[in-house]
Formats: sequence, C-alpha cells, structure tokens
Amino acid sequence: MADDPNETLETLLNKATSTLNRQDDWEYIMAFCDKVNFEIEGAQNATRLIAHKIQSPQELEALRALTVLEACVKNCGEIFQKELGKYRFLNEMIKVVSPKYLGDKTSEKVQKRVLVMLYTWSIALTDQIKIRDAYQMLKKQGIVTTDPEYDQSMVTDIPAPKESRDTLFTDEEKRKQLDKLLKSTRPEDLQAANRLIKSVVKEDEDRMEKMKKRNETLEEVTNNIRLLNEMLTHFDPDVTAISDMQMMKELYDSCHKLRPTLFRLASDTDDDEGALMEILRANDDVTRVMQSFEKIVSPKLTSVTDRKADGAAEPDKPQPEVEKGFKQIFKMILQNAVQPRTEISSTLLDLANLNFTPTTSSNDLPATGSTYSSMLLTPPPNSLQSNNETSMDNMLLDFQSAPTSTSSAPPPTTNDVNSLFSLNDLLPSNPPPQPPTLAPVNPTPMIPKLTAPPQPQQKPSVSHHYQLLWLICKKLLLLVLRKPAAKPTLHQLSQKPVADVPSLFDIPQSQPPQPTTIAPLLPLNPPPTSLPTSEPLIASSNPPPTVMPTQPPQTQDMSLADVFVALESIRPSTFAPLTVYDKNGIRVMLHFAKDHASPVRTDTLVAVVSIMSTRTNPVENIVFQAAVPKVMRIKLQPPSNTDLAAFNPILSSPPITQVMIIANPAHKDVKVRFKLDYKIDDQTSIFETGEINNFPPADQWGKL
Amino acid sequence: MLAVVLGGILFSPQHLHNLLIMGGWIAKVFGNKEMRLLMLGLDAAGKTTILYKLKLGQAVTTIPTVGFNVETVVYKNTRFNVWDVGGQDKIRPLWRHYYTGTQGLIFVIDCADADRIEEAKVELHRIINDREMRDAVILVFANKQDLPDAMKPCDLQSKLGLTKLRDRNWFVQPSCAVSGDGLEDGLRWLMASQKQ
Repeated sequence: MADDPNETLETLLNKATSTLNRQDDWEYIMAFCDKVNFEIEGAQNATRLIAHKIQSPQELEALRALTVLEACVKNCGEIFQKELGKYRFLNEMIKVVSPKYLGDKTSEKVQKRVLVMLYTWSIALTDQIKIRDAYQMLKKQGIVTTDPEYDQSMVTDIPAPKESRDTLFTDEEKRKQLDKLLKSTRPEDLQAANRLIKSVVKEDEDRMEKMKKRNETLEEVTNNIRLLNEMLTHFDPDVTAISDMQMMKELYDSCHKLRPTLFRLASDTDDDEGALMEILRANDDVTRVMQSFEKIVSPKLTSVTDRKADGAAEPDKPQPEVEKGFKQIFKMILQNAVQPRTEISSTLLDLANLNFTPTTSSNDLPATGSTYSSMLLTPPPNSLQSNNETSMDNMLLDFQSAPTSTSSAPPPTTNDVNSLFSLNDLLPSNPPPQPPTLAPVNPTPMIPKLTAPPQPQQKPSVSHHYQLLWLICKKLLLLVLRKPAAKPTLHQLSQKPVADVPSLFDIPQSQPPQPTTIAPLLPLNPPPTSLPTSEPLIASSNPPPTVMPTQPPQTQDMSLADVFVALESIRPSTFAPLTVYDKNGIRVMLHFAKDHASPVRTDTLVAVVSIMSTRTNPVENIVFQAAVPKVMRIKLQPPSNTDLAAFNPILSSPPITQVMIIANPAHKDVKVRFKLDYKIDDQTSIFETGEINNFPPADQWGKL
Repeated sequence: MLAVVLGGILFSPQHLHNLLIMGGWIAKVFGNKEMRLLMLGLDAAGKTTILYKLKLGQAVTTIPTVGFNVETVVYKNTRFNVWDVGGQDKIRPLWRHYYTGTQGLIFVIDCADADRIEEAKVELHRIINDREMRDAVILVFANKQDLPDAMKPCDLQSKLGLTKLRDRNWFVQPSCAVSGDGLEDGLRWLMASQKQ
C-alpha cells in the first residue's frame, strides 16, 4: 500500500484515523509507517500531519492519530524519533493538554494518553532530551501533578539506540580526550578526566541555570500580560476606579521594565531556536498589551493630570498628509542641527532626540518591519531625501528589491511600527519613564501617524520582523568581528549633537547592534513615554513657524568623517560617467550616484570610482587618491581591492570600486586632482596624476 | 645453552617456562586475582557510600558524584578495581566510556525510590545491552534495605526485567551501604561468578 502512488501520507493518515473504522486499522497504520520510511522527509511531513490530527475535536480521531504516532515511533526509527523530539512537534502535543490552548476543549481520554506518551518517551527515548524538557515543563506548570503510569508496551519494540546521545560532550575533541584519559592507568590522567567532566558539567549547569532564569522571566511576563489584559477587558473609563487604573499602570510599568530583560534573554539565547521564538512571542505580547493600555487607559489616566494635552492629540486619527509630516520632521531635524539644544523647546528636544526619525520616515512604505531590516543590511541613505518627494516610488522599489524578503512581508501595522520602537526600548540601560505628570496624552509612538491609516494588527508580522531583526543583528555582529571597524565609533557618534543623526545609518555596517555596544547611544534615544510629546507637531499639518527653515543651514559642518555610504546602497544616476584616466590598459571611471551621501548632507555628492584593467598581466598595488579645493571636502572610502587580475575576456574579474564623497556646501565648481599609483610588469611602478573638472553642477546634486 | 641449577636439579629453559606458567596460575588461584568492576545506578542510589564502605570500612558523608571515584578494594584474595561513576541523568551518557574491560557491573538501586524504578530499569538494560558489556556479570545491590517500604529483592528483579533475562549471569543482593550489610555477600557472588 505504501508504494501505491495514489496514496500520500495524508490520504493514508486520513484512512488510518478515520472515525468510520470500527477499530484501529493496522493495515493503514503500517502503510503509513512504511510511507514515512519510504519518502524523503517522510518524518517531517508525518509529524506535521499527525500534529494536526491529534488536535482533532473528535476524540476518536485524535486517539487514532495517537495510535499512529505510537506506531511511527516504533517503526520509523531514529529519524522519526528525532522529529518527535523537536519542539515544533512537542509544542503541538503540549497544546492538547495545556489549558492555555486546547486543554479545555480536549477530552480527558486524549489528554491522558498524550501525557502517558510524553512521560514514557521522556524516559525511554533518552536521546530526545527535549521530550524530557517538555514533560518537565508540564510538571512545572502544574499541568502534570503526578506522573502517569509508564506504558511499557509503548516502548518494548523500540530498538535500543546504539548509544545514548551525549549532550555534554558534544565536542568530538573533548570526547576523545576523555576516552583517552579514562583508558589510561596513570592516576594523574584519571584526575584530569575527572576535572574535564566536572568542567563540562559545570558549563552545562550554567546553561541550565540560564534556561531556568529564562523560564522564570517568561512566566512573569506571561502573568503580567494576562492580568493586564484581563483588567483591560473589563476597563470602562467611567466605572473603573482610579486605584484600578493605577494598578494597571503599575502592571504596565513592570511590563516596561521586563522588556530589557527579554531582550537580554534573546541575545543570550543563541543555541535554542524554540526558546528564542518563545521570547520573541512574549515580547510581541508585551508590546501588544502595553499598546492597548496606552490606547485605552493612558489617555484617561493622564487626562486627570494634563487636560490641556488631552485635546491636542487624538490617538488614532490617521495622518492623511503623510509626506508633509515627513518633510516637517526632516526640517525640524535640520533646524535642530544648528540650534543649541538648550534653546529648543522641550517638544523639539524630544523630536531632536528621535534619532530614529529618518529611519521611521520610510514607514510610508509597506512592510515596515522588513523595511527597517533591509535598511540595516544595506543602509540606503540616498533613499531618505528630505526634499524629493517624487523619489518615494523609487524608494518603494528599492526596498522591495532589498535582499530581505520584503515582498513576502505583511503590510504595515501599528503594531509593527511599535515593535521597531520596542527594540529601542529594550536596550538595557534605558532611561526611566517620565513621571506620570509629564506623560503624554497618547504614548503611542509617533510613527503610526506617518503610516497610512492603521490596519488590523497582524501577529505573525511582528514575530517575523523580530526574527529578521535578530538574524540581522547576528549577521552584523559577524561582519564586524571579521572586519574591525575603522569608522567612527558609536560613542563618538552619540557625543555629537543631532547634526550627525543621519549618520547613524552607518552603524549597522560598522557596529554590532549588541546591547552593550549600543548603550552609549542611549542618550540620543527617546525615553519611550516622551515620544508622543512630539506628536501634536507631526499630527497637525501646520508646523510651528519657528521650525521651518527652507534651506539647509550653511554653517553646517563640512566634515565627512562621519559619513559613510555603502556601495550597495548607491543608486546610479543618469548623469554620464566620466572617464578620468585611460592608459596602459587601465581605465578609471567615475559613476555618479543619484542621491546625497545622507539625507541631511545635501551638500554632498557621491560617486563610485571604478578601476579596471585590460592588461594581460596582473596590476598590483593600485592606489587612487584625490584632493579638492579648501572650500570642499573629499572622502575616499576604502577600495574593494588593490590588485587587478590579468584580463580574461571569458571570465573577466570585477573592477576595483571605491566610494568617493565630496562635500561642497559653497556650491562652487568642483575640481578634483587625483593621483594614481600602480605596479605592472615585474614591479614597474607607475605614478600618474590628473584633474577632473566636468562634475555635475552642484545645484543638481541629490537629484541626478 | 642456558640452564639454571635450582636446588641441585638442572632445569632446562622449557622446564623453567612451564614452571612460570604454573606459578601464574597458582597466583591466580591463591592470591593476586583482579577484577574490574563498574558501579552504576541512578543518582543518590548509594554508589559512593558503597565504595567507601568497602574501601574504608566506614560510612562516609558523600556529595553527588560528578565524574567518578576509583578505588582498589581487596577482599579475600581478590583485588577489586571498583569504578564508581556519577549517576545524575545528564552525566549518564558518559557511562559508556567506562565499559571497556569491565568484568562485573554493580548496579545499585535505591529500593525506597519506587518512582524511579522504571527509569533505573531503562538505564540498566541500556548498559547490559551494550556490546562492550555483553560479557560482564551483573550484580544488583538492592540498596537502602534499612528504609521502610524498601522494595524486596524478589520484587525488584521482576521490576527490573531481570527475570526474563536468560542468557546473563545476574544476581540481586539486598544491601544497606551505611551498615555494610550485604556488601561482602555481593563481592563473594562476584568472585564466585568469575571462577565459573
């Protein structure tokens, strides 16, 4: 039956679990097992299908599915047992007995059977340690109070595993070393063996301790969420007592405090996918419940203390003129860049603090979460022009073609957007929330305003977003470890006033977003509750006149030290490239970028210097240097290479690329003198200089 | 030609050789018999207490063993090389590192811990099914007999699935490590099992 091409795992399982069968149909059950063994990825697919069936509301079907499962464990070998022992599947079994999920709906018989199975396997299938973990968790949660009876029949036919999996000595080297030491007859070797075991056990215990702590935190979070959620459901602004509201506020605050812990947990959890997902889920839940609180209770609570603010902002009023608001923020930032902080009103200060603004302004786009992620990966400073509204469409495209799975990402949700902030909030030494009297009317972060009217919340998108963020964090960390950063440190950045805010885009390239590293940034980060203070400004389409500069300030710092443009982020312009050097088979070209180096540096021009060779011998030690008149600044980022291989018409090697940034705040005609050194043909050094004049006019920069 | 004069009698090398072999055999029978024992069991079964009761003759206060203890216990004319290996579940996978060369398995059961008897059974069978332990004789100490409600040896043997174990040489010895009751009986059974 298993080789009947018309039968799939699914059809066989349907037949084996059919409630029409009078008794267990072993013919189909065994056929299913055979099919599992026969098919590639049979075990994965089988567990998925079975997981679905055991949650059937029909008791008989669920029980039959459990019988099939048992048969598979016996007959489908270690591969199936491995699948069984994954949280992916175990979670499905736990759901059946957990009152949080299906526990209330599932019949006692099914639950009992599930528990017996988990218990028996937790003992018998010692290789699958996660079964034991899962069972222990049920015990800890009080779902299991006394162990069920061990069902010998369930495991008698399971062939004993060849050797029990060693979870301690997973390192092959160490295992071999231990084996060698134990085989030795010398007492000192035996002592060494003992020490080795002890140290490894200690490591493991530390890991377990970490896990325990994680579970405790998660439990605390869950309890907080549950309680706050309950209170929110029963909340009625006219009836609920102030004391209750204050209690909710306390719960809210404790949720707030727990978020950094969650983040730390997430960063500590690098070896356990399941746990990580759990943490992320908890964080999503916290974000959601805090948001509800902010929406439902906060306004009421603050209205008592701050009536004036009450009228200023309405929580969910959609912002129709998104781009206007977007422009405003931008101008305000520019304004702030030249004003000493102390002179700015408190509202502006908050906004100035908002170093996320440039990032979040791109939230016009769909898939907020992923957008942000892709920016982290390939920061496209060029896509954030303050004065080029028409480029919005291009930005959209850009982001969609970004390497992350933007296209599959769900549409933006207010929740999503908040999650962006929650990362921010999660940073360890977060400044404490402001006292309630200063608390804004609506503590919802301002970004939702910038997005189109809020759409229904979508849970998956949030976790998806976090997953992405997390992966990116890791990737960046790797990147940084490989290439020590020569760029300005975060600390330097954080010490600079707001003028440098956009250059924060550089960070993802050069700095790991580890909490510890980011910590110095915190002064720039907005305290979450202070965020909304800026809201009235953005929400209203008429900004206060005091903050409307039409021109970027001329006094701006010309320095390019903090500017970095990633090659990948550059969009080529339509301006014809310049060939600045063509000799000895070596050609140097300048390709101009469409955008400024960063949105606030509207005085900048970005170009890519590309050097290629058509020589039949390799060219080595290529160095391209450039200089500009004193009223300008030039910065050459490190070249992609210094050598070019011999030209091969079939397999041509990539040219050397080097990003060049020119600052020209005075809008003068640009003149660049360059120097080119290289070695050809047995170390013949060539040394060339030249001048480049025909740059695009300065007034066109940024919209080339 | 090499010859040795011993007590006025001339021995050829062949004679000498035979004599030495006989000597080794005599030593085996009468004195220097050795046996490598591996003592396993769940955590808190009393393995370390048994080891030091045998070695020192007194009950010692023990802490959970992480790693192992190894002692040579001389009883009668046999030197028992006893390996006592920690039994916490996470270090149980290390047990197999000690299997090689083991002639006798001492499996210690906490008879007052009925809850974990099934777990003990699984572990016991895992050990004795290992290829390297195929030839080892199996002594089970039904330990903590001094405690009330301690399982009796006869119950134990069925609960451990020993009754059905036909092709192995096994024995369940009731014991109390603290007082030392039954321990020497166990060693005697081991010695006897080796002679066969």
